[in-house]
Amino acid sequence: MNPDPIVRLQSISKRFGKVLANDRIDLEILPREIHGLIGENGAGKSTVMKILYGFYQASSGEIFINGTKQEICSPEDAISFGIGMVHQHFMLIPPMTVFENIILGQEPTKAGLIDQKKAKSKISSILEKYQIEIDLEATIETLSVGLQQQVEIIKVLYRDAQILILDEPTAVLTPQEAQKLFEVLRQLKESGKTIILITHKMKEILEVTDRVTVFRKGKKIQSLETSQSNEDLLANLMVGRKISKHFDRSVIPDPKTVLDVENLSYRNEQGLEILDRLSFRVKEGEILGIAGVLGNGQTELEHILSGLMTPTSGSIRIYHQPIEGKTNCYIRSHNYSSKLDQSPFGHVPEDRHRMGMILEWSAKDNFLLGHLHEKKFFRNTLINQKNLRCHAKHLMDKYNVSPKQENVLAKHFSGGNQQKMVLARELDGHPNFALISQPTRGVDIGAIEFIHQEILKIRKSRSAIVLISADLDEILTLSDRILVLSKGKIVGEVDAKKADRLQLGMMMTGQAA
Amino acid sequence: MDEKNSKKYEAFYSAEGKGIMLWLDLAFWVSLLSSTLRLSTPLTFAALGGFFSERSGVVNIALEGLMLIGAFAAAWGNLYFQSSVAGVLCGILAAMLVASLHAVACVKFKADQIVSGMAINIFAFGLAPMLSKALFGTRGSSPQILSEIHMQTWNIPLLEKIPFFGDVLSHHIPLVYLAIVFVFMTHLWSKKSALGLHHRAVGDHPEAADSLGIKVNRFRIVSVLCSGVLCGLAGAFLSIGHGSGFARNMTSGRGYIALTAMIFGKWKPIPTFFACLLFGFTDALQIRMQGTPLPGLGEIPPQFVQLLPYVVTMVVLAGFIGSSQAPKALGIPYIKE
Repeated sequence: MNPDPIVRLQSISKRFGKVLANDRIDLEILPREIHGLIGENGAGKSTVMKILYGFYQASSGEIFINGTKQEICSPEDAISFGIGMVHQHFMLIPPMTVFENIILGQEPTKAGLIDQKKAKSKISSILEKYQIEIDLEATIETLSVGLQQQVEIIKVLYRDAQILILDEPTAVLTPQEAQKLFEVLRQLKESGKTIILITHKMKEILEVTDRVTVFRKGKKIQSLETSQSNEDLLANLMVGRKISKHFDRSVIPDPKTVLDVENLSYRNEQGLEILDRLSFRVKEGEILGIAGVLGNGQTELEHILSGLMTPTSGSIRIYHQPIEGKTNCYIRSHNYSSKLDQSPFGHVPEDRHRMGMILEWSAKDNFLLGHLHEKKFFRNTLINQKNLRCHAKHLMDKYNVSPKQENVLAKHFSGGNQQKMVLARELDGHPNFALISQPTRGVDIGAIEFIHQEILKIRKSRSAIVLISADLDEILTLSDRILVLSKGKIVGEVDAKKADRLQLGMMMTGQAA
Repeated sequence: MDEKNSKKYEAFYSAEGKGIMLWLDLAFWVSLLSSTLRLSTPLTFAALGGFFSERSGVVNIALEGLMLIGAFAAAWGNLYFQSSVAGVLCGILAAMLVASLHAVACVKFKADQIVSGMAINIFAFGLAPMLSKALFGTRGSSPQILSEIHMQTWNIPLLEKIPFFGDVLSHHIPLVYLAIVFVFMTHLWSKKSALGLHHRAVGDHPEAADSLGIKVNRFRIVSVLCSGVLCGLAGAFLSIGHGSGFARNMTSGRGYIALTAMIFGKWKPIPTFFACLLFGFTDALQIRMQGTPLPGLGEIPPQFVQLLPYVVTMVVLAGFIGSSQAPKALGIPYIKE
């Protein structure tokens, strides 16, 4: 028999304008458990917790704490019911000290001034209990992200929270910091706290939680014991269908060489050798994966191949025509082959917010970027709005972008949908040469699958593809050949069929394979 | 100006007539420093006003306009009620009322804070002469406030006995001392009190403050009103403390100078006070340098000498604005997602 739930949500709904973010959510959290909430971005798991924390008010539904119905109208109310929240984006004030941040809003006072002694003794008893070491007088901005998160947790404990909500706590942590966090969470559970962990990473759920509730599209799908679940089951519940792992990798007959890079070097303004004599070729219908720890020259390689930077020396050719030192505009608009059904060049940049799209523009206008030389979008010198709208609608439909509203600003789409739009714009013309960097960073699993399938589709239509990714699994699933980049040098070339994670990992960190 | 010193100064000046000797005379320095203290007082009040508003996250370039309204209302109050205290209270009230416009526009209606502040300045610039026409029948200035109802200077017992310092620090009107007390009280409040902590939190990271149950918008509105109160004091000082009546555009850019002092003081009360002293000093120096030959340079045309405080302001602005000391959420209305 389960104990009585400490928190019970009954039929909670939340509407933001037209969007139903939460649809009649029923949820029970048991005392002294670590309860995971899992779902894709925008599934409604954060929203429902923000309602519990009083940040939002539910459009309808009821909240029961310890069996009694409560109205939670503000974070203040939530705090008084013993609920604390560690937000995904830290709610810390960078120029203030750790001490000030912890007591903010709950300062013990003496004659109008803060009673430093009382506050400090309370904090140090918490620090002792959970064996956390932190300098109270340090300012937040000097602390590492991991330490900042600990401050957030102390902040919540200082408010005597019994129920801790953590929203995507590991998103910004290194794997080591995440391990440390899980230890703290287990300790908290031991000492009688209840923890709600919001995440979209299945590994974390399986590692640390007791029970898990899956959300999809604003609805609660199912609560289950973590011990009775596994990655496949969770993934299927999250996406609502089986995730296909089948990829079409047909052999491309008679491939010609498209991209030919020879002795490409780049030295930056400080004179550092960022790229050192890279040579590689990519054929039609081939995906060349470039693996490596971030910051080993990938960004510079991407910028040079797309004409945003000029290499110090070396040559780059597409179908024997040199493009090194040419502008991005030239590379995009030049005719490299006689094939009329292929656009010359497609580029999915690593940082879609900074380079992939203009967030303040509508989706429709974003589709125009990089296609300004194409006559079909213009009538004399004016933009042909009708054609553009048609084009946008067509692409959004084809690439399954939701909501399918071409006039909505780009920033209002989720990460996955934004990325699909960038992909649609860049790859729909089956480019001769496609340069794709970090295609699935910050994208949920349903969209990842879709994006991978699209990349394989243009492979089939004979595009030469360079895929730069920090995600080794992605490189291994998609590539035909893998180059490993370390400190600007190619330290290894592997046939993807014979590649082995361990061997690649060793090459990436610069150890000889 | 204190009578004893000014007599001494004038006697000396007319007798010698040589600029170089002037700089070596103690009486000259007493008069210069004493006047620095006086001239920095309105700047200090207004800059503290700026501190309250801006630390809570609301840009306040309306200091100038608020001061002007405060100056006018103080002069009217002093004349109408025949009392300088009533005058000061009127100045405070009027400036606070106008500040409430800024507060409502910026906090409630999320208007652009620069535009709202500018609008208030322009509004004040027109309102004061209009009211003076209506109330006094003059073209922009009030009748003179006679010495019977004028604010009296205080002689601080013991302090006035100390040579040099006594002459510099004593014999000022109460508002001068009030400004200094406010500086230290504000410092203490901001650093050590719970409300001061909330005040800084609201300006640096309103979302965080809100998540801890602090009412961000309410706090900001009250902060802007505080800013009005202080500008009222600054204005009152100009019209009925230092001067003896309201004159058209009598703030002459002091609101902006106060804002600069606050930026120069990194949005902190005590450094801001020292910045105000610096500007007060340049102003006092400017007055004394008019018609006084400088060693080696001779006499500088007064038009150039009068530029001094503004040149210093510009140099300070060019050198210090844009440093990272500003409250992080300054100028950004708080909108809950």
